[in-house]
Amino acid sequence: MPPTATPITPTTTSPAPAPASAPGPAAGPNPAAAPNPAAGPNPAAGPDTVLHAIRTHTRSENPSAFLAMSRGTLAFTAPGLDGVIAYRQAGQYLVQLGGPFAAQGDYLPLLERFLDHARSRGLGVVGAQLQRADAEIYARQGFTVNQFGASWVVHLPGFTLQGGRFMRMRNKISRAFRNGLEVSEVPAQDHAEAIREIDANWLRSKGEAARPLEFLVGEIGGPGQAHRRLFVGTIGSRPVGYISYSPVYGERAGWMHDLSRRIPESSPGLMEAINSHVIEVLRAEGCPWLHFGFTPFTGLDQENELPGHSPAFQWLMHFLWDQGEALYPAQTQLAYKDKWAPQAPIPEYVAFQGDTASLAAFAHIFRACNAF
Amino acid sequence: MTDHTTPAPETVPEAAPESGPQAAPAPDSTESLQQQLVQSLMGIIGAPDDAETARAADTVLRALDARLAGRAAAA
Repeated sequence: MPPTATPITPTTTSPAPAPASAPGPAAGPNPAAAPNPAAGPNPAAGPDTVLHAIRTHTRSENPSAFLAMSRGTLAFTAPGLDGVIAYRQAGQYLVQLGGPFAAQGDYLPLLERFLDHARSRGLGVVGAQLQRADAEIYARQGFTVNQFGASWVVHLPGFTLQGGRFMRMRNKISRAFRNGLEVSEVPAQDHAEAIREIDANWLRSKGEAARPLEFLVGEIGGPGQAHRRLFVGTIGSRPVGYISYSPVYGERAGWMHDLSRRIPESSPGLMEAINSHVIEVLRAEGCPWLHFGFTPFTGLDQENELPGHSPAFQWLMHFLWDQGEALYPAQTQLAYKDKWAPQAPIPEYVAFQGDTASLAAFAHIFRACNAF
Repeated sequence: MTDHTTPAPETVPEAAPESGPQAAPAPDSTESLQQQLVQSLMGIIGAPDDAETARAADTVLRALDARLAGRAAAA
């Protein structure tokens, strides 16, 4: 079953936040910041607290909110404030996943406490995968906000693989099934060995220096696993690939095509075949939306930029789309997502403290993802 | 984001001039600043904790911001 849509939190008045114009690492620790000692990364903010926040506080409509449940991602909370900020530390930066998942009246106070917390430790803050609603708030608070890429989504009612657009994909899918592919939904804990084997083969195929990404990428296992769905493809009883789907909450509730891996020498059309099977399952369940998640450097459009954005960083995003394959294979990733005829891209943003973008902060988003 | 990458900073191409032959751009040209910006990013990836590298990158980014903003204003 698809996750339940969550209600919009009623509007309340929020106190004025501190400006975001005093960035962290270069500025050093600021003893005058006087952070609230009770606010911070909160081990007591367990998965239930995070899950409650991302299910309840969905005004930003972040399709990747469930990534906040990943192991290794921290939850920042503050006493008396309803919500969490999901983040990881990389070097001298705290890298946020999206904006605060917080009640409307607590959104800015929680962000303010988080900035205080970072400032008191001499750290900077950079926000990744902010949605438009987050981006507008951050820009008003003095951040420099630029488009980082886009997320992609398919509306399932009425979706069909019929028609000329999908002919090549239908052929690939047919070939995979003719090669003996069978797809089934399985409990991850019962298939740990198969997942390990697929992962090991997949990683080997990426070369000696390959590192599996984390943080802005899903995972299998941990406290979030009970809420995900795992579909495994087998050929002759050998597991050859899988796709993990994470729940998406809010107005576009549904599932996100998240972690996907396959044994490289297995059948062509494998992932397409698994996903086409899942689409039929989800459609039968009445699920309205299948998300394909965020791809950096894609869907870039001048119309999406906010006042005060950095034109140099905007140029860099276009450059990395065109020639940044070694940093992130955006074109390859988008080619897969585009096969499914997604709707118009949903822009996602990066927010930098201060009056322009920061390459160091940007690089640390990738560092937080274990890219280097 | 999809789940793999193998960053290889040395393999990321330099920004190419927008037009014309592949001659080296003038040191203060927009194309040169764009090349420097890409090189700065790769420098940070190679030395992410180096404050001087980060500061130098900020300088390049601000210069390119000013150049591109000036272009937009003139257009």
